[in-house]
Amino acid sequence: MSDQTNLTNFSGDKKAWPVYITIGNLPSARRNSPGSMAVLLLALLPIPPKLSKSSKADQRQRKINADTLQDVFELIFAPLQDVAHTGMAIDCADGKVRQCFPILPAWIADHMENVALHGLKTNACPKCEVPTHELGTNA
Amino acid sequence: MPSKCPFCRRKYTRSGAYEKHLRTAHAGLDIVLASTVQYINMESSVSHNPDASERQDSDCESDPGPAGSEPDEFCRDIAYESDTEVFDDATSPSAGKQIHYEGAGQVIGDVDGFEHEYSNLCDDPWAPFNSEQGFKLASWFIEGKVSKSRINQYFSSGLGDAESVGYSSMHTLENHLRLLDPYSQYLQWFEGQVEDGQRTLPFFYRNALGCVRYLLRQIAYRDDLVYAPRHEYDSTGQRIYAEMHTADWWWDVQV
Repeated sequence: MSDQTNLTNFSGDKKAWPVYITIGNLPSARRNSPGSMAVLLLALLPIPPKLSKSSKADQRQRKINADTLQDVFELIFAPLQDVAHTGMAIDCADGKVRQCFPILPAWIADHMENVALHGLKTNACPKCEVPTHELGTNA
Repeated sequence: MPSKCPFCRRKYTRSGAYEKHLRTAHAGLDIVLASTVQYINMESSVSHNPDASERQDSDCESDPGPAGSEPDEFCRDIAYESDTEVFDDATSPSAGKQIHYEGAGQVIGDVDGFEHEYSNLCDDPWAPFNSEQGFKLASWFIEGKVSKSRINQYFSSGLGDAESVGYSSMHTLENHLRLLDPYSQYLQWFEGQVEDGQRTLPFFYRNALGCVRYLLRQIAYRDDLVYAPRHEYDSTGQRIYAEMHTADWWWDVQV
């Protein structure tokens, strides 16, 4: 029912970290055309300050930041948690009410975004559990 | 009888092609208004819409007689081209059979006041503006990124005719614009704070469920929305995977 895009934008020294949301009920041609305005800005995430790799304190801070991000997402998607199981009567565009189960099925993100979202190592695979040194061996 | 685009001179015989034209050629127009005009044109064969007839009259005046047929033919050529393009798109899935998920996307009731709202849209497509001119001026202001103080200046210096456009300052124009989007309460912003041990960072979010309800409620998507999963097959019985709702995931998740 919803289908999400996650982007990172950088301009100058200012950063924004937007999360977008749209619905899968629209055909992709309609959903993806800019004029249809079917993609809504869902959230602007907090951006942690830059941290160095060497310092122990900063490494600890990095861990805290990753956990905080998960909490933020938990808050943002809290409204969908129960409704995805129980369903909800939603007014539809044709003037009818339907029992809808809004489920978050897909997330579009680039590799670095996946690393940040899932708390991975940069060289790990975001889709599977194959260890880094075995990636590509079974091709 | 082809419907004529109210915003330019092209004519369309198929609603799909016409809708595509509205979407691409006039993408800057407000989406609610675009859909309104589309419905009116669909209905114009039954009840004649005063706006459309007015436009046809003015066209006849500008190029009367056989001389006028030339640009119209040109328009029809364009219309024909885009018609065939859309036609191909539309026929491919309908060539074979489709299996629908039993009971999915069932209607459980009517939305209160929808008929009223819909008939209002048809009766007065320019609402909340009181005329086409009022709407066009507003969209010119916004697309041209005219600053608020300049808009106020425009009216205070007497350049604009506030009577005929229906607003006389940025403030009244903003009130009109707010009415254009009656479901904006779904899109309210919230502010949150995160504490990372050293500093407090702000972040902003909307209600995710509200966003979904807002999108499902848009009349502009009325003809596009898909409410149930289905399997599509071509003429040889091969399964077609096209949109999200024709694949397996929707089917498996459906309760």
